[in-house]
Amino acid sequence: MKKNIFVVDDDPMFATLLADYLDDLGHFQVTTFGTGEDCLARLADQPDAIILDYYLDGTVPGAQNGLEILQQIHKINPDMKVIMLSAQEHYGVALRTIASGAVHYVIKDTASFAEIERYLGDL
Amino acid sequence: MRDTGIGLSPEQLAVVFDSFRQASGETTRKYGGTGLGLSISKQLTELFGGRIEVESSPGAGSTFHVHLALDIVEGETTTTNVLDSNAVATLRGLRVLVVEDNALNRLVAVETLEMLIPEVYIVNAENGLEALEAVQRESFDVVLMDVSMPVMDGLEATRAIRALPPPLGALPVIAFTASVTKNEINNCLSAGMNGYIPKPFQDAELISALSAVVPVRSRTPAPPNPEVLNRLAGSNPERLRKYLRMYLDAVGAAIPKIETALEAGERDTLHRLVHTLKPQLKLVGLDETAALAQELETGILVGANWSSVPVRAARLLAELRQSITDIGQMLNS
Repeated sequence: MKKNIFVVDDDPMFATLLADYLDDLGHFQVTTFGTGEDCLARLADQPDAIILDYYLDGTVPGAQNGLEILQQIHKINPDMKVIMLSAQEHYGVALRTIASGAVHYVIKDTASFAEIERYLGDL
Repeated sequence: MRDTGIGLSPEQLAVVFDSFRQASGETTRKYGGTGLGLSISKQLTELFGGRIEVESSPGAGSTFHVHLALDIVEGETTTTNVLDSNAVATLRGLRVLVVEDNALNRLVAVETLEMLIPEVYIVNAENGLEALEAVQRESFDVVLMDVSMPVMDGLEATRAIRALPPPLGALPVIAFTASVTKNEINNCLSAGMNGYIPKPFQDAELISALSAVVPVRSRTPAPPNPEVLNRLAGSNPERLRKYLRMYLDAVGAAIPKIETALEAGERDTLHRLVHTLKPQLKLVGLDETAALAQELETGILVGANWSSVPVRAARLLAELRQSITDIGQMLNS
């Protein structure tokens, strides 16, 4: 049985790369969303983990940011495993996402894919 | 603070905090200085609600006491005036033309540059016309240009420099301006200036504005390298092409949005757009351009660095356009 993974990122390039990478591993079923709102609407599908970008309004002005979406996910399902993604290298941002209940914080670059694979393996 | 210097007599103690007073006329000749240091120290101390006192006698040194009751700051402190030592190092040997009609401002600028930048070379001009002559007479890396000056103002002088044949016409010019209204900044930028430094300025603002324009001249970033993407594509050419096309779509859409946000001074929008670019740039192997995007992002977030934004943004846009050409060629080959 494949694990069901949601990827939420307004950057289609990164989202597609990550989805392809996880698909190739053979044991994940990946669904991508361009906004957190779209992901929330499908939370009833019971994903095994959600990979959530921190800034979600880079291409969609006015979209809620990842931290707000994270809090809403946990309101609906407090046990949901959420890995936070960000192009942000600030310690404060990482700290805030972990304090808000994310299980991991991953910087978006060329090494992110293997890192996410490792974290998903641990879940 | 205690020193072992020549000390002060009771008469000298009475005036030591006054402006333009030194222990004697002889002191000025022998030790230099303008006699402003202690007066400024006293004013600053009092602005903090504190006081400054001195104990001294001739030949026995002096002891200065500064009493300040300050609150302890909790959490993050601002770091806008922290000097970037790497930036300072890259400015070594910088050739600067300081254009300023006010003698005191000129002195402050020259002394600050000399204090901060190793082996800095400085030439002074007192108005725009003198500046225009100076840049044609010898080579500079950057011009610090006052805006309002007699004979020829900074805006007119900048326009005249921009009209000179290349590479002289591209000489970085930084406005040195007392008023930092949006209007004034727009006037400076539309005259062809590359940034601005408010007067009075902090050391970090000066260094930040200088390093924003200076390294740009010798910048030649490496071309895109699809190696990482190719590995992620499992060496599947069709998949690699898909990813490269996504890069073209994303960056092609971002360029006009960045231009619009920059023109309108929309800081938040600009920040989001630049922020989103970074992973895309790293994925196509444009690490130097990604680093430039990071510097630009920092400049946008830290208010005091806004003067560095237009130059870095222009450079980033040029590199993004180049990457579109380069990656377009990869797709066609």
